[in-house]
Amino acid sequence: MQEQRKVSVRVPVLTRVEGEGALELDIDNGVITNLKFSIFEPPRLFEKLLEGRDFQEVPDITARICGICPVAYQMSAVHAAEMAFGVQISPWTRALRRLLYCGEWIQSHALHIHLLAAPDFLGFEDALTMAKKFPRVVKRGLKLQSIGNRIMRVLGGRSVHPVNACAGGFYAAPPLDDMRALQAELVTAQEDAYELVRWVASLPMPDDEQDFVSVALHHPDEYPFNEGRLISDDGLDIGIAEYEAHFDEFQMAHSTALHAHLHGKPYLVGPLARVNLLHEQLPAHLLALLEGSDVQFPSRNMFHSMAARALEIAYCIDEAIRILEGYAPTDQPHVAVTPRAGTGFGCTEAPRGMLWHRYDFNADGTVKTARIVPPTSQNQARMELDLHQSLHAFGLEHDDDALRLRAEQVIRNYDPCISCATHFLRLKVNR
Amino acid sequence: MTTAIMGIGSPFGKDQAGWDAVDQLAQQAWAQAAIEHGTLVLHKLDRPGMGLLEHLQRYAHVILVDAVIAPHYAPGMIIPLQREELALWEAPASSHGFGVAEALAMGDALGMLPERLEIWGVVVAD
Repeated sequence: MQEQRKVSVRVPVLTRVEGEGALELDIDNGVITNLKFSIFEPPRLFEKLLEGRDFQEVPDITARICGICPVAYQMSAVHAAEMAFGVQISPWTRALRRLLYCGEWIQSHALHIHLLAAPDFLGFEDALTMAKKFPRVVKRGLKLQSIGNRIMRVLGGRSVHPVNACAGGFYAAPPLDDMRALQAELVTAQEDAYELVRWVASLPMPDDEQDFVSVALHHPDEYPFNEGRLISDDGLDIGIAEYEAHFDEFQMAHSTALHAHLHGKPYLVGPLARVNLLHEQLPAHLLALLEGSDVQFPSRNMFHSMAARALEIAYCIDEAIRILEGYAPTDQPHVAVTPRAGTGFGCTEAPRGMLWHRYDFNADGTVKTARIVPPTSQNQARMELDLHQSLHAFGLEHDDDALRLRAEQVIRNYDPCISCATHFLRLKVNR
Repeated sequence: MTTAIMGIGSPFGKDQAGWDAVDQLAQQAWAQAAIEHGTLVLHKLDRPGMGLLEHLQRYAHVILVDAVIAPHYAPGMIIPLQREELALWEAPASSHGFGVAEALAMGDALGMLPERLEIWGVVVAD
């Protein structure tokens, strides 16, 4: 028999650089009567700040949107400028941009798995407590994270807000010795990454099948970072310039971050969406790491996101080694860019999902208007729906702490680029 | 044995105290001689978070210098600190909540701290 009670969860506003998260949850007599997940991003006004700035300033300004995924913002920005100005980048640049993105995915995914998400699946309060019981696992995670950071440092000068990317390529070619040292280090981490996939796939995960639409970039020849068409598992297949005709951003009263719909419905971006749509582009030896586990792709279980993240870490280690094997410095790390009036689009796969940019440029290369659609914003509507479905599936009769923990776990599972990626919910129970 | 002195900081106001300390050290003749002999290295780290452990692991003796708010001491004083004295966030609210105290606690849990670790606080006004 359903317990006759009222539960009210209220999350205080958190002040953080990357945004503020909040959750309202009211349960009355076994029914969710109110559920709102909101991101209170302070008005940082990046799109307005960009107006009037030179196109070569854009990658360094947009990088400041995020300290965890600055490369994503840089890559979407430089590709948009190159599209607008008709620039053809060299194969050398293309390969190095993939390598830079490998670094970001590795560090971001490793951080999320080990310091933010895994404690949920093992019943620990935080990563520090987990580290005492699973020191080898956490050490391995920190090692992988540091390798991701190192890739960004070698290519970009520093691991947070790297400074080497520009429209047309890179300002400077990384020295060969540094790249060879990086390659050697990555080779030593390959087995760590494979072990990580097996470990994550073996974790106890709630069985929570849901119906959702996955959206990701698709490139015919490779697992996508910087280029491709936008596809979904319900038939979407469009060029990135057509984004605005299919995706709709809209304001919700309870959030200062925009929600987004595809054809009027919530959708998912990020590692699980990517692996669901593109698992056939992952090497067989990586997918084989899942054998014997309950994790198989495509998956309808949102909690398999962490396994998708681990798979992507392993893919990035392999891909980074492959790129580094073919690396040679060049005396032309970038091609000349001649600005002109026009519009450019950039859509790349940030660790948390597809990141879409649009810029209108003046003839002198300054920004006339800018529009940036980040992945966490796109996932918001899906997260709210997930909370509804997950909490019902979990059982509203559970005690308050268990409900709070499950709600936290659901939110953190998306790796939102905001403060709610760690334990933050406070429960106030009204009975 | 090489000693590493690491100034922790950020570009923001008083938080640069750890960096300033390292800059001052770098001007000293004795420090310059030690650096030349390979017995001393100086680092300035910008909010390294858990990445601090990566830096610590490279040395057997590390001296960390960071700005601290310590109401019982006058601003400008240099005070030795025990790792246990560093307040952990009650509940790190985000990945931004991983600071020096959290990194050192993690390093302790994982056995990743250097053989000799000294922490010096540069007292700044609250």
